[in-house]
Amino acid sequence: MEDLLVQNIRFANRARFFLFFLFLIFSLFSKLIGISLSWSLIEIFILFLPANFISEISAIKIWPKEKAPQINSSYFAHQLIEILLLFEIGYLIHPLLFFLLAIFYIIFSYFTFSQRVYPRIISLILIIGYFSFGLLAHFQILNYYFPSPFFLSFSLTSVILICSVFFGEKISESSENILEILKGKTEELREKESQQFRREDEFRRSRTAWEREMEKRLKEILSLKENLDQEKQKEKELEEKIAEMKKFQESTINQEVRKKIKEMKDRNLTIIESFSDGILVLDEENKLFLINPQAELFFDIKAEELMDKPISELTKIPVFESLTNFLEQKTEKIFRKELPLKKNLILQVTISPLMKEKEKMGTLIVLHDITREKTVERIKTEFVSLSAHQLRTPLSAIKWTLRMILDGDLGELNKEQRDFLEKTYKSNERMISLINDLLNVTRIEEGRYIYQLLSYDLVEITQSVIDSYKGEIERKDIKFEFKKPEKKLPKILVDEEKIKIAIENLLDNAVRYIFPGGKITISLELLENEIQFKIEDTGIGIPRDEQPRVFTKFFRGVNAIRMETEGSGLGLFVTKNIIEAHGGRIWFKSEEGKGSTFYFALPLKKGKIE
Amino acid sequence: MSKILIVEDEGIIIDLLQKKLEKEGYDVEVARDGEEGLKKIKEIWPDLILLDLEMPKMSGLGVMEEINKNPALKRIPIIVMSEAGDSFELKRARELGAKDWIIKIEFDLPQIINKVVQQIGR
Repeated sequence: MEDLLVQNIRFANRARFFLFFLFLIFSLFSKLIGISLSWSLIEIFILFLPANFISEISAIKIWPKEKAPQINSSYFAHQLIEILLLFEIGYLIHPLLFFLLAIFYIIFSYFTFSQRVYPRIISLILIIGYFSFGLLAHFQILNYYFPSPFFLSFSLTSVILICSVFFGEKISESSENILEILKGKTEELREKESQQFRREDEFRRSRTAWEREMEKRLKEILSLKENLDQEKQKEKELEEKIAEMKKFQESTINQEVRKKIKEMKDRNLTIIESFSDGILVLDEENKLFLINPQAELFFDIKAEELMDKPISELTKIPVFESLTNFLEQKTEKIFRKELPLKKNLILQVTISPLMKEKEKMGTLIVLHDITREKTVERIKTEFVSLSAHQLRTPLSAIKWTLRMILDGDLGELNKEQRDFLEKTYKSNERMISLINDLLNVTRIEEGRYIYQLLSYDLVEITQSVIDSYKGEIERKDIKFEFKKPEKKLPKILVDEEKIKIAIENLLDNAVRYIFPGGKITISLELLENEIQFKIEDTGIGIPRDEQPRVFTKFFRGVNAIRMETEGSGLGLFVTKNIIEAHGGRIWFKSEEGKGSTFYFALPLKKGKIE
Repeated sequence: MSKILIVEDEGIIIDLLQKKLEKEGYDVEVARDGEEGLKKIKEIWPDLILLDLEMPKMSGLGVMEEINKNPALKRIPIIVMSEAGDSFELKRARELGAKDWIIKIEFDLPQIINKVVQQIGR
């Protein structure tokens, strides 16, 4: 590259000097012999300009901007010669040609020199120089000061020639020097570059070495890490395997148990599902947790509509309304209630808390269909009631008829007649007593047993009952004692008639099932909040295994039946109902063959009547 | 001698009451159903009526309603006889002005005589 540049510049400079020389000769000759100057023109175009352009273009092409040569005197001189040459051309040949050439040169040099070779201001000075000399030449202003164009031309070209001769070589040299310098600089640059390159290379190499080292180390680290990871992974796998093994071990051990548990669970669920009673289970927050198909059937509602809802939201279902109150009480007892749900559906609702280690974990509600039992019971009660009512009045009529006959209202009787009628009367009395008991029972069951509470002294009531049994007691030779309390008892609210029935039943049993010569003791005692009645006998007692059924309807002890065929088995049932209707309690102690003691206690404040 | 009218359909009850009351010294008349009873009340103007509430043709309550229409008849004391002590009829009869009542299933002759004596004396 540099070589080409040097060659071009060299060629251009030589061409230039050669041209000047030729031009000088031609111009001298042309003036001397008067031939046209067109030859010199041709030469200029053919030789000078292309050579100049080539050199310039090469320079532009080759010199990078930053490597452009500094301006110096030789270059300036070089340019000056070019200007003069142009002036010469313009003057000698044609002003217009000069003008065009000048413009072309201006534009060309502006772009080339200003950008590549000279600072802009120098280019401007040169351009102005070209232009003004051109103009001066054109208008032949210089003619006023110089004798003739020829002289001017001659003198100028001589000067130029001399300049060329003196400075040309120098210029050439300088340009060559420049080139040398440039070359040197280029060399230097190249050296520097190569040094730089070498350095870079070294650096690169060292860097790569370092990098490689680093990479190596990194790789080592990575591999170590990988190893570590692998170790860890292995450890983990091992642990997993151990866990699996354990699990497997456990599962093999537990499989049987689990299977059984699952079977049991399934079975339990099936039992719950197919239970004929409705089952509802609430969780500890009283939300519905379980409902079986039977319960769904009872309420005619789908389980999905109810699940997880708190009980208070389920007001659609009548049972829940009554349950809500109960559930709020947080009681731990079992609660039973009859619930007429629909026209033909009566349920017995049993609510029991689900306890786990004294913690309430929910509530179990069992719904048992008692419609049939209730219906049968009702029919039975109605039947008994009807028969009793139908029997009672005629029996009374018979009683009073017999009484009249026996009293002699209908004429005198002989002894035999009287005996028979007396027996008939007694039988009739028994029948009336039985019917009375039955009527009381039906009244209790139908809820028609009406209590009229008034203030009474329990001692007086008891005494009146005892009085009515005096004959019987004497006849049976019973030792009887009534222990009245030392202090006068406070009066309490009772239904006199009903309490009399209760005491009568207790005394009647005592008298009826006593061994001849036995002893009956009745006592009344004031306790803290209640009055306690106690009747103790030395009778046949109640067999232990029958004791739980004592207060049930139609109950009669086996030994009692053996001793006396009569008896409805209703007395204690009625008595219990009466005492409980007064808010009291009734209980007993008994030993077969030794006797029984019956107690009841009535509250002092007031009787609780349904 | 006080006149008592028994309005009752059951023979044995009539016989017992009649016999006992006559023995106690009352003049006793008998009617065997409500209609007859009402007719006899107007005929004989008794001092006391023993009126059964459950009867054929006209019930005791029917008779009482008829009596209540006549202020003069209304003054005659009535003792009603009811099958049970807690019946609707008995309650209604008391509203209509029955002076006392006898519960037939607890039929007690001396008690009835007492009640009669309480109303009109011997």
